Amino acid sequence: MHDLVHPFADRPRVTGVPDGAILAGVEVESELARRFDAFVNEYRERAVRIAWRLLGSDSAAAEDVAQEAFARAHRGLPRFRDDAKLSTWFYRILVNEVRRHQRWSGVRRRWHADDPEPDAVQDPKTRGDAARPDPALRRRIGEAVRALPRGQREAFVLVHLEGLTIAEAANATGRAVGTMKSHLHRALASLRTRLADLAPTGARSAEETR
Amino acid sequence: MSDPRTGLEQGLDRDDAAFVRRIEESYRPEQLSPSRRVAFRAALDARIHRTPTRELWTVLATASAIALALVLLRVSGGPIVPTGAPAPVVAHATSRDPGAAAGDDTMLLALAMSDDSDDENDASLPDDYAAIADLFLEGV
Repeated sequence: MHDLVHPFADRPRVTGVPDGAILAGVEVESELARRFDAFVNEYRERAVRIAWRLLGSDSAAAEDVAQEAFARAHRGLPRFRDDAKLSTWFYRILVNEVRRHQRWSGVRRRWHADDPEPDAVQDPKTRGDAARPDPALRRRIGEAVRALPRGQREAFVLVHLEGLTIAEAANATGRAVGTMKSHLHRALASLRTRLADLAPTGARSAEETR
Repeated sequence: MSDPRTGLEQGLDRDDAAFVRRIEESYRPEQLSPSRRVAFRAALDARIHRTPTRELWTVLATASAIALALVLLRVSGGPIVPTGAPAPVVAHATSRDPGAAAGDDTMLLALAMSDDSDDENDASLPDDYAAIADLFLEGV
């Protein structure tokens, strides 16, 4: 995907993006900028999607949060150490930005009670129509996810929806692995209650006969 | 990072995995259009290059807040007045008009009429403080 020089070619790589071992050793600014560009291109969609899911389907806020996370990563890149994967480090920044946004949006909501719900008002020019999920279903799921406590929401989105390992999600959220497991269990139970009609038919009929 | 599909099976039975997969497929934003990608990158670049300016504004705002606090302290007199300062205003007013001490209204009037000018405060302030305060006052 990228024409990046990888000095650790024998090291297994998950994606085409260089990990911290490369970036930490880069001293030439232009080279750093080039690799940062590659990183942004590789992770942009995913960063926006994670923020969107964590924020409860607010597209404008998700893009804003993702941009701020990339900007912070850019500022912190020279200090990034080799002892973590770049992606894990970035997810931690992203999760912190989401939390920061939620804190401020909570304050804003107290002063502007008539603010629209996330993505209730959308600019049609900014929305693609390709492969668009059912809006009503998406809204329902968004409400159910938003209703989860923050820890459960973060665990569910990062592990079950984004495919991070529990250890990676624990690192990104600053929580213990055991806590993450507990959050995952509770989040799933809560969502199965709120979105019971989405459960597989077999499971539903089994629950109904109980 | 790993494929979301592989994460779905983490500790889930088949029904839970199907349930989570349904959510994963339905609960996602629309992909950014090419124009939105360009706009995203432009906004990110602007954010990155704006940072020094923002930090400068933060420093200026902090300096302004400190200056304002110093000015307010200077106006109120409070904790900066040294021990050798003039006696409290109430005593000063009472001694000027002993007959008025009988009523609260008269005392309040005396308070309002008392000579409490900036010049008097300036005289009571340490020299270094006065110099700093004047410097900030010029900028206000």
